[in-house]
Amino acid sequence: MIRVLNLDKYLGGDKILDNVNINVEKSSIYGLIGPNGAGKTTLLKNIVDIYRPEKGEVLVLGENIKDNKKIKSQLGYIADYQYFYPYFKVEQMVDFYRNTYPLWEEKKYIKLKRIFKLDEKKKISSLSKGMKTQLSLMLNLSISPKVLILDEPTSGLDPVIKRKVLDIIIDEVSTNETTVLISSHHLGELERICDHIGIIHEGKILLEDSIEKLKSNVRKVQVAFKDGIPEDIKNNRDILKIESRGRVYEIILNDHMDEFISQIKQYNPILLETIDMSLEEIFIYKMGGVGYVFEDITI
Amino acid sequence: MFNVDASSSTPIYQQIVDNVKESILKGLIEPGEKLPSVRELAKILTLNPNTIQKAYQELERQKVIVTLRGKGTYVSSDYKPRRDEYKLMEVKELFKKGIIEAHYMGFKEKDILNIIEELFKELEGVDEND
Repeated sequence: MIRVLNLDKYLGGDKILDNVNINVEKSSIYGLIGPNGAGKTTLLKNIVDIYRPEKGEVLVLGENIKDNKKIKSQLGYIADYQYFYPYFKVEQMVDFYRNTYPLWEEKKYIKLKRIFKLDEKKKISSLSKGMKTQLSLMLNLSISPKVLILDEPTSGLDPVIKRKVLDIIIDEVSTNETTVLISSHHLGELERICDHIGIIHEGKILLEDSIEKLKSNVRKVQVAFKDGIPEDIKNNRDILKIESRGRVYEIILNDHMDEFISQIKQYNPILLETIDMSLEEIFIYKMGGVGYVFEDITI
Repeated sequence: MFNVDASSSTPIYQQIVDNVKESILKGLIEPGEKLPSVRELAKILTLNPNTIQKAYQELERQKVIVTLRGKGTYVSSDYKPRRDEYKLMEVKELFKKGIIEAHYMGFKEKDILNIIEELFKELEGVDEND
C-alpha cells in the first residue's frame, strides 16, 4: 500500500534521509518511531509529496505519488503542525475540503462533528493546537481516505480526546480497511494499536518488523550461577547489554532466545528468569546499540 | 471483560485467546453465547483489529468459537472446557508456595515428602471415619 524505495532527501545541504526503504501493508497500522531529529517528519512529507526526494521513489496504492491527483484524493495527511488559513472560519475550511476532494462523505463528516463537538462558526485562528488537530482529523477522515498518514497525532491532546482519536483510527481500519502510517513518541500507545514498527535513526531505517516478532526476539534474562558466570555465556554474540548486580546478571538479548536459554541450562544456573520488555525498553536498548544513549546526568 | 497487557512479552493475540478460554472456563461467557465483533472488541480494548482477527482465527482453529457468516461469532456449543487442567495449575501453585515456605524453614525434599505422606494418612483417616 505504501512503499518507499531507496529514498534520499537533502535539506539545506544536509542528508536527512539516507537510502530509506519501508513497506506498509494494506489495512495495517504501522508505527514509525525514532529519536527527535531522526527524519520522521521529513519521511512522511516525502510520502505525501510535499517534499520531493533527490533519489528513490514513493509508491502509494501501487502508483508513484509524484503529482498524482487521483492517489492524493484518497490520501489523508495529519501534519505535526496544522496550517489552515487563519482568517477562515471552521465551516469555510470544511467547505474548502468538501469542494476539493471528490470522495467527500457528508454523512461521515456529520458523525465526526458530533464526536468532536467543534464549533463551526469559530475562527481557525482562535482554535488551540489540540482543536486544530481535531479539525484536521475530521477533515481528513471525511475524504474517505484509503491511506492515512499521521504525524504525532496525539501530542497536545487531553487524555479523553486522545482516546477518542485512537478509537476513531481503529474504527477506520476495521471498517474501511484503511492503511495507516503513524509517527509518535508515545510507545505505549503504539504498542497497542500498531502491528508493524519501523525504527528510524539519523535518516536510516534501523529495523522494520512486526511487533510480535520484535518482542519475542528482544528479551531480558536474569541469571545467576553458583561459581560466577561462564565465559561462553558472557561472550554470546547476541547479547545487547549485560549488567551484574551482585551474583545476578541481567542480560538483554537481541535474538536466538531459545538457544541461549538451553546454553545457560547446561551450567545449572541457580536463577533463570526471562522478563518481559515493553516497546519503550526495546527502543531504548536498540538505540543504545547504535550509540544513542542517556548519559547519567546530574546537575 | 478482557484484560490485555500490551507490554507483556506474550503476544497480544495469545493473551486474547487465553482470556476468552478463561472466561468460558469461569462461566463468564457460555457456550452458544455471542462474542463481540472484531471491530467492537478492537474498540473496547483499543487494539489493532488485525490482532483481534488473528486471535479469533486461532480460537476458531481450536474449535473454541464458530463464526456464522453474516451473524457473528459464537462460543461453540459443543466446546468442552478441560476444567481439570486449569484447576491443576492452581493446585500446583499452592504446592509450590508451601514448598518454598518449608524450604526456608530448613526442610529438605525428603522432609517435605514425609509431611505430605503424613497429611495423606490424616486425610484418609478422616475418610474411613466418615
